Amino acid sequence: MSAKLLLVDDEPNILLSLDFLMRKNGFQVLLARNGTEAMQLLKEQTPDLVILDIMMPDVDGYQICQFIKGDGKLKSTKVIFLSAKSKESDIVKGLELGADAYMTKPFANKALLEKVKELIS
Amino acid sequence: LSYWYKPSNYEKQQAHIYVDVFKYSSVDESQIVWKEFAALSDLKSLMIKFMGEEKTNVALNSFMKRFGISGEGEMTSDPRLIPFVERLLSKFVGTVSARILIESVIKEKDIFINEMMDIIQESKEVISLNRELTKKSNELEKAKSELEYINQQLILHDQTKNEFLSTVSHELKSPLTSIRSLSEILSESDGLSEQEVSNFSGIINKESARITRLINQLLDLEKYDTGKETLILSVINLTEFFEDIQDALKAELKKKDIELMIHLDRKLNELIFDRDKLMQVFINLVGNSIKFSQNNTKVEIILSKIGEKINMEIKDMGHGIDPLYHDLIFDRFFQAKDQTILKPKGSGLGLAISKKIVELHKGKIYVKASSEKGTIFAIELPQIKNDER
Repeated sequence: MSAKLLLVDDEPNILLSLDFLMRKNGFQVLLARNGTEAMQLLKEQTPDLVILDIMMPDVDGYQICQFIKGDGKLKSTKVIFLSAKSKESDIVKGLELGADAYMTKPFANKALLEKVKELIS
Repeated sequence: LSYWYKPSNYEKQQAHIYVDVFKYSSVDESQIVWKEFAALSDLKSLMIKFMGEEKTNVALNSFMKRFGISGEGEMTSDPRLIPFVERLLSKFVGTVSARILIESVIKEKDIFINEMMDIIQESKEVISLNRELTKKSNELEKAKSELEYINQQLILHDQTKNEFLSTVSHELKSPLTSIRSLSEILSESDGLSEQEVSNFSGIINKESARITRLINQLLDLEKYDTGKETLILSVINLTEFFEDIQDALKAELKKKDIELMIHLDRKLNELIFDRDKLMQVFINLVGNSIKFSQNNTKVEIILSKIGEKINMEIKDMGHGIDPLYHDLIFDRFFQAKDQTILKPKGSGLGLAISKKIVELHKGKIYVKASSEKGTIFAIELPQIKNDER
């Protein structure tokens, strides 16, 4: 069975391109257009991996990552932060929260795909 | 020293005395002019008169401790005692007075009238010096609090600037991210349907336009901030002006089936203002009204002249703005920070620019009223006379 990904981004067009990219590469995809929707989905679903934006106004990516890493049901769910925040301190903060990878925007499709495959295998 | 600095005032005072004791007790022996001795009780009562009992005791005890003196008898015969007391007293009554007073105690003689005059004169000087010092210290205190305020403002300004830069970079990177990812998909994926190709290219175009718009708006704001933007005033026919606004927003109005009604004041046919800039303000405000209104409602523009002021109101039937945000919405990127459900379209700079334009006309823009039934934005402009152009 193909892996299930949750994609979280409040930019509709980024979400659209992530959605297309991941489906094209054979993944099952769940979409959240903001932090609240992501939290909702995470209470019902157990994705294998979450691609997570950080700067979202309702619930930010840091909070969502903390929720995932603190929830027993989601203990095998991997997290990739995908953010425009590119300062060293931002990256360190993201990884300290338990994220499995941190990639900056704008991203290269290929690099993101490789990271996803690497974390899921 | 900090060891002695305890929070209470009394302890602070004590600490000062200790400092004094150390300062005055480290005086070179050769400087000592007093070869005589005085009864300790006389010196002590003199000190108490000017310094109070507490300070006197503290001073004498620390003197004893400092020089390893064990009893009062030994202290009386210590040659360092008299200069020590004199120096200490001179802090309270001035050096001349201290000398005269000590002398009278040592020699057990009365103070002469001219010595009394000296004491009074010095007291006067001490008092006026004290006043001067109090004044200076008040001034310093004031300057200090002003500096603290400026410092706070600078920190705030710095934070705002950092926040602004980080928001700008986020707002630029977001469209860039879609553009990059989608153009990679377009160039690397085989078997895209015709509709996918046109959809993705369309988004790339829109996102490129978004970046351009954002950059232009930032440059505009920069011009307003640095005072480089000036008004180009001309006499504007109001009917034509608002017809043009209606035209510019035709597509948005039609899409949501919203009627734009314009109520002009009969007394007003023409006004002097910067046409392009005020057009920008109205397109922004009415555009916002449309964006936040339900389908099939109306937006009204109401013009009136009150005294020498022109009042322009934009009234919609949208869901209203929380009073908490009535001022904040004019801040740069505020909208982007406040979005709660779905990210609203727009740069978040429109109202900030509108405010700058209205202010350049020496006018005011604000939320006049807002409830769940709708919002009224008001623009007040002073009427510009023909000869003021």
